[in-house]
Amino acid sequence: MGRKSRSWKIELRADNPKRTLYRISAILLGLGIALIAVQLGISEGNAFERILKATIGSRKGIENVLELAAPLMTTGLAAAIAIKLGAWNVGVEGQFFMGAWAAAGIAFALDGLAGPPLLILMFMGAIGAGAIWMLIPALARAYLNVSEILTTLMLNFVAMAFLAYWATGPWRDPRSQGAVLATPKLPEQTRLPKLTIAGVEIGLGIVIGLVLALLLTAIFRKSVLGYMVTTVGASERAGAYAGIKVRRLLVTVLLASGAAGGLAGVTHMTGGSINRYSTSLSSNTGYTGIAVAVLAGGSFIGTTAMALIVGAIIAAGNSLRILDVGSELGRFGLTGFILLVAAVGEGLSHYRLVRRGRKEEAKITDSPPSAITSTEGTPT
Amino acid sequence: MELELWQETLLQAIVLGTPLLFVASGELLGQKVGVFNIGIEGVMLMGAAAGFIGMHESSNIVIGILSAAVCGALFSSLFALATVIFRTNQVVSGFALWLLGLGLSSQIGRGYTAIRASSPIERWEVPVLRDIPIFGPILFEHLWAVYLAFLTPFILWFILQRTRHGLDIRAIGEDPVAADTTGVAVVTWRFLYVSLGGALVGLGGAFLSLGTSQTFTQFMTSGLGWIGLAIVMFAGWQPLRLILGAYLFGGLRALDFAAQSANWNIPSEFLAMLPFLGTLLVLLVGAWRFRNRPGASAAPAALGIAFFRGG
Amino acid sequence: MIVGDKTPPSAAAPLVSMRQITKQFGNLTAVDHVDLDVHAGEIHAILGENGAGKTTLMNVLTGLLRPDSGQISLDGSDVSISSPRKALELGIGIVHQHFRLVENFTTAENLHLGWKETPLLAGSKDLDDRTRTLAKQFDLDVEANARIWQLSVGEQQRVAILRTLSRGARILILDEPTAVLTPTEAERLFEMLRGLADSSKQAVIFISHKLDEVIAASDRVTVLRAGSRVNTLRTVDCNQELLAEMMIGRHLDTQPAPPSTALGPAILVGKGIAVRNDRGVPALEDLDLELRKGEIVGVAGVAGNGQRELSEVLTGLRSIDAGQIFVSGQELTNADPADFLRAGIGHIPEDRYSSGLVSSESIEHNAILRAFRDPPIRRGLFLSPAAIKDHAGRLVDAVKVSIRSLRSSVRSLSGGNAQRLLTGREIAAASKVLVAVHPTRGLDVGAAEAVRQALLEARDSGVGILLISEDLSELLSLADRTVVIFRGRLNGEFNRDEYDVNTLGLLMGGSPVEVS
Repeated sequence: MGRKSRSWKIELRADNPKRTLYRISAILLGLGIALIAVQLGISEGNAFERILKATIGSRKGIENVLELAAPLMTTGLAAAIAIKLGAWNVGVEGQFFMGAWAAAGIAFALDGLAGPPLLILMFMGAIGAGAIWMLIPALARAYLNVSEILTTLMLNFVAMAFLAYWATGPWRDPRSQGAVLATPKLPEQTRLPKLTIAGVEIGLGIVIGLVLALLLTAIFRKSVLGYMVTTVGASERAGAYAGIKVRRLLVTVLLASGAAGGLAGVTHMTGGSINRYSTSLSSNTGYTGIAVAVLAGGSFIGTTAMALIVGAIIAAGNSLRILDVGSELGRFGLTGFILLVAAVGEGLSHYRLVRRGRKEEAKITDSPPSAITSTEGTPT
Repeated sequence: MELELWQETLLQAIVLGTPLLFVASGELLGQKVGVFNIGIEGVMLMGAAAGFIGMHESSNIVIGILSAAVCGALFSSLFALATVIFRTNQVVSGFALWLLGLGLSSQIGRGYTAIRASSPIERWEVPVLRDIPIFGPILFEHLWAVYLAFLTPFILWFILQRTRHGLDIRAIGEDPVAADTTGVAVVTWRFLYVSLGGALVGLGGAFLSLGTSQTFTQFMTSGLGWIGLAIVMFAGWQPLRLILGAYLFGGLRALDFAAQSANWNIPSEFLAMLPFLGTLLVLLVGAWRFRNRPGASAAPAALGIAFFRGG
Repeated sequence: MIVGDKTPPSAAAPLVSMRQITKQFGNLTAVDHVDLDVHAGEIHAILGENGAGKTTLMNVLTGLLRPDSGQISLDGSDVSISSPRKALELGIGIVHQHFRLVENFTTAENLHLGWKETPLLAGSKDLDDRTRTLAKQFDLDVEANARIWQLSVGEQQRVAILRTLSRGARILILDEPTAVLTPTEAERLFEMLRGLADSSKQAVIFISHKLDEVIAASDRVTVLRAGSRVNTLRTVDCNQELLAEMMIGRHLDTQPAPPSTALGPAILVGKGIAVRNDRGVPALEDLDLELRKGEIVGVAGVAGNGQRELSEVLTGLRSIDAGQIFVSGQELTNADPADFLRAGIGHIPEDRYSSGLVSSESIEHNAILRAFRDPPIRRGLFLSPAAIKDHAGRLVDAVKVSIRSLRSSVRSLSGGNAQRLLTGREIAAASKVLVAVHPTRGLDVGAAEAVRQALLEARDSGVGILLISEDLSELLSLADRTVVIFRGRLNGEFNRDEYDVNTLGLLMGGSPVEVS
């Protein structure tokens, strides 16, 4: 006889309809643990109170959260678009900056134009730049099977260097100093107005994010393109069977993802408080956006909600700086921790405990064992 | 001895390339068993912080180095736990690791930022060899960790290509199911090597805080971890080529400094772009070579795919 | 071809003996009190058609499955084979149809992977040398430093065999070994096996459904049918007719369906079709096919003879290397799936859940998989929810499947209901031709009957149906004409009521028989 076998077995299952539940519970659990840890770790003061005040407990807090969440919404949506096909647009950060670059370039070159037409051109340029920045990775993935994770990642760094060149060279601001590289302020007329609802100032970035989410949801649920993406995303073979040109679809969707990344860049540059083309436009906004999309399970509306939550987490982290907890820990560490816990929750949802003794599956036919290549994210 | 500019540049290429070599070696180890850790920037920072703290609290460089390695290993083992044991998505978990590393390293390093290392990595001038004209001072008057970094890929190469164990673990990265069928303990080795790789990455961070800068600053790695990732791909996943990649990319940065001091007009941003464009090119060319074998590439075939028995 | 003329001395005890092995899966008895003896130095064939129990029996012998009852003994003493690892320790090795070799590794590396006997320090040169030594020992021709993906399938198989032998297998089992080989490679394989059995006294077992192979290469043959052992004979005492009869049996329950009412001219014509499968081995060779309006043509044959590739070629999922395909006179050679669809060709695929249906999506989503490109469902860039609902609703009514809601996921349906949905959708989409592959596989009696009815109705409305099935009774009762496919060619053909079981068995086993 072999080893004594346990009566329970862990078995892989194809899909767990309660995945969202697992994910949300994991996030809440993570938040709870983090909160308790913070409270225990500080010497005085009430962390919970402080966090509340900095986030939803006050008008300023809410505004702060919204401002932090705004870029995350659009970058999150950009990542979510790619995730629909099981692809990973890790290059959102680069597309963000290239979009901002194109917009800034247009703004500086055509600064005589009035606001609205200039803004329209800027937005169009940004969207185009983002898409172009995704072109090579998209084609390489569709036709050469090169992992888009690796290629878009490389282009991120190229984009950063590109930004550095323009901000310290041709578009140099003689007064800029320190580690932040920035151009002079963009022309006044490019500043997006802010809305005020119920006494709270909301940047146009949030509005654009929400509108984009609704638009994407509509497209995915109601259009032919959306139908094809849903099909191919669920099963490439079913897509081929249904006569869908999978590779063309892949390129189209990835370009759209890049375009959204570019949109995020120009929106944040014109709608936020930083009105220049500068390195401080993004504090890893692109990468955090991917995390937001994943935490939201890839759903568009969920991404906007998750962007708000993550924005709140960042605000909370910032608020704790005064209590001797570094803001970096809050900003990054917290998000990272939540992400890890959520990922684990998601991963665990792939399993179930099965009692031994169930009848084994009949394997009468000679069909080859199907390769269970579960989780997404396949570099090369 | 005063060095000429080009000699100084080569020297700096090696110095700047050393942390990259550590980091790339660590990541290669993990990727060879099929695990893609995108978050090594975070691990590197943790190593830098932990290394400095360890050295400072004990006034002993060896303790510092060990702290960096152990911390890197432990931190990576979190990632290994998530991805290898719980089979979470490697990209997401990698990002989480990176963010955690950013935050945690800043937190633990807070009290140590203005301090100068009391017991840094020492220089070791190799007797006899250092007196070789022209190249002696470039190659043989480095901090001892530089030599260690140079040796590491050779050790990796030997283990991977010349031992039975190396054969088994390479198989894990190529076809874990086949390896499992022949009795290789896939999960165990994946976990171990991801963690071990983390130790090497931590060492890379420690080289910064204990070797070159001899202090700790927040986010001091400034993207070197990401370059390390690029080097693994640039090297086509082959250990010995890591040396080429690390010193080449280090050299580009050194060239940047040289260009500035010599007043050449090469925009340093352009030089900064080159490693990444180069890696991109290598990836595309590599894929072109494999275009007739759908799905094949220079990377370990099972890189990034979670392993489930029976699949 | 070599003739097996070595008769093992009957007095010698068998190397391995399986006695009264029984294995059930739920209600299905896959293996029913089967006995099997194999002697050292013997090549023993296990012959049977689909579902006969050959693979299950071997899975028991190699430790993948535990038998419900029965006993196995090795060298005279009883053993319990609890796992594949244990089987290997006992010297039982199997080479599957899908050899688990690491593609990017060399032959030498694959041989030494996960092997206790590999030296601790071993560079590639050492491994190559050791490989060559082993190859010589077993007289197997392998290239030590070639990468697996560079090798032909026959060569890869030799590597897999060498690996099994090197690890001490005294009993070598091969599961349908020639399924992936060319005839020349097959011949080499059997020569090699003969040498192995003669010189090293290996006991070789190979599973097959091909009569000519069994006759030419084995010493003895055990025929299985529907889980039971029909007989074990010395190969010299057999001929193909006898084997075919044992393999198929005398009785085939067929209730012939009423003949077609809508027979018409040829609607699908394939000429000289040649195509390779995913491994690069020719799957179809110079195949001619004609399908008429209002006719069901059944394609009989043991799995792996090109059926899958045939269905893919006729629906645009695989492009052909040579030949032509015409539908209603229009050439569709190498068109893509969308074109085939537009030409009126429906496809009930072999794997219903990975291509025919998107199991994570709703019934609605799946219902319009063929129709989403055209009005009324498509309106410009968008889909009309009302039209979708209508279309899906009508489909569900037509197939008489009761569902909770059109929006519930396909996964919530039973296998039978999902297949009925799929069948209904494809029949609706197939205005000219329907390619149906194993349409009733895995279904209960009621669902299977419903699907068959639907096929007959489609036929009577003028659709030409190509029915590929493993279920001989089903084929013979539904088909107006049946062709037999073997090694990528059509081996024979007969009309309904004209079939003769023995001839059928011979044809499926590869024997080309003239049928009037």
